[in-house]
Amino acid sequence: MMPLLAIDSSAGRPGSPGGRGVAPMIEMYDVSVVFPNGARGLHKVNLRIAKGEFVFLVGPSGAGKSTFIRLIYREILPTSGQVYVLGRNLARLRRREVPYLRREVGVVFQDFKLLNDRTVYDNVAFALQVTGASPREVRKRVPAVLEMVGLAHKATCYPDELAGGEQQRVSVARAIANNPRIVLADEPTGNLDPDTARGIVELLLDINRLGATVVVATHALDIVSSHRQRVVELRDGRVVRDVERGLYRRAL
Amino acid sequence: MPFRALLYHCREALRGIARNGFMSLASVTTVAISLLVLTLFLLLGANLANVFTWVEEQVQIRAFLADDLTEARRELLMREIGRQEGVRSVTFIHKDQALQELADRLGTDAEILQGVDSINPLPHTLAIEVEPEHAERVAEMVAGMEGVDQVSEKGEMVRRLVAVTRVLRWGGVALMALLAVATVLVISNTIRLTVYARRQEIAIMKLVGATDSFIRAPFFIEGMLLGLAGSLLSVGGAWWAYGYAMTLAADSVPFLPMLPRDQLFADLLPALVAGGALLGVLGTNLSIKRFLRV
Repeated sequence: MMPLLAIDSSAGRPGSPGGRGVAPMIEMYDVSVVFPNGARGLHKVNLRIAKGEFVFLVGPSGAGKSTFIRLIYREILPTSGQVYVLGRNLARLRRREVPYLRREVGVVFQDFKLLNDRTVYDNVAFALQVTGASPREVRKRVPAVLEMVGLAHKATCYPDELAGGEQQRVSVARAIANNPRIVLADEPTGNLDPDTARGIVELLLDINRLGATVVVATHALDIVSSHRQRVVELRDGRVVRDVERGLYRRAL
Repeated sequence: MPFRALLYHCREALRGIARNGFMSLASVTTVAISLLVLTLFLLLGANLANVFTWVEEQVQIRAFLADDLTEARRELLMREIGRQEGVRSVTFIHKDQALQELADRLGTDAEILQGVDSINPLPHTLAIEVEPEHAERVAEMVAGMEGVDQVSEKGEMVRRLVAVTRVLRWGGVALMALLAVATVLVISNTIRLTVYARRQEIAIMKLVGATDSFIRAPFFIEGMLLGLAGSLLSVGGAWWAYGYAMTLAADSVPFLPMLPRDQLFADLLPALVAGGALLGVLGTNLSIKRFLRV
């Protein structure tokens, strides 16, 4: 059976901090974002996230977590500073290259963004079909990722027949369908009860263990505390804390 | 583009058309009407051009001769006229022959000429075949010649007809341009509705890394299909209308030559179908630029 996520032999230990000889997946240098209405999204953020890391991005609403996520999948560009993803300077990335970047970056949202007129299977298959996968690839890949998120038995259901946590699992399945090297999640548990939320985070950790670099923006601090992962805290668009796993454990 | 992608785009395009049933119908109808008007203008233009060629061949100056003109003087006159630039031929028509021709033209009504036979009121005539652009000058010259009583020139009518067609042609072009713009706008609006209905899908497609051209393709196919359907309808309508016009013409102006329908439509069809598709693509393009932003 083919691997669910590409595991590169040069990948860093899951959870290892950035730098120190490990290929950086995401780099930000003096990144500031000012929105057209004058609101400040981020202010002089410097950060490196290495291959294979799992990072919690925390902070109150409006701290800049979503802006941070949106920069990485190039929904927006920084007002100043440089963002590198997979070694590419996103400001230099041509329009027509953006889709190919996004195939390497899976994104999960708080509101799932599922198509309600399509089954679970078709929602996941959609991500593959519109990026030019052959029907054979789709038939192999979709059941595999549904199996991984634990929804193989709900393939023929429609999203509104599923519980919130299950819908989010479909959304995760779609995000990893193209076998991305980076998975981003923007408040993936915001609409879910704590137990279900825990399940989603476990799923994202599983995906990380299979080799993907994962960034999860959340303000569910209890979940963050119970997983000893790197935590980056944003406040008013600045990084006010960046705790590696070791440090964080000591802080507990 | 791989075949399965094309298949996918076509399916999405048909879904789009079905989803906006009413607007799709409105688009097709607008395209059909616009192209129908365009086609009718083209048909009218082609036939007028044809009629003019025919009329121009008929451009003839008739010089009515004085009764007392001698045969020798007449020969001299004919040679003189024949030397003029643009004159193709000069033919003498004897007054008896002229009467006979008139009788022929009147056909069954010829009985009104009974009794005129003996005192033929028609003059001897010179029929001068002349190139249209020289008609006026030659007519004036002939009118001034001794032995010529009167000159009738049909060139004036042709020139007026040509002027009228020029106005018709430019009016037609302006009207067609307006209709083309209207068609593009209506198609664009229909596509906009599809874009709106599919905005969620489009957002997800962008998110998971579908290329811009992949996202656009179904909309272009949808626009093209609307244009094609409209143009086929218009060709059908024009086919019927032309047939009707031919029947009418055969009754009222049988002497006017009309271009044969099959040949005419065989020439026009590819251009019209391509034109419809083009309007569809232009409409889509407008919509994509304004509303899709991919």
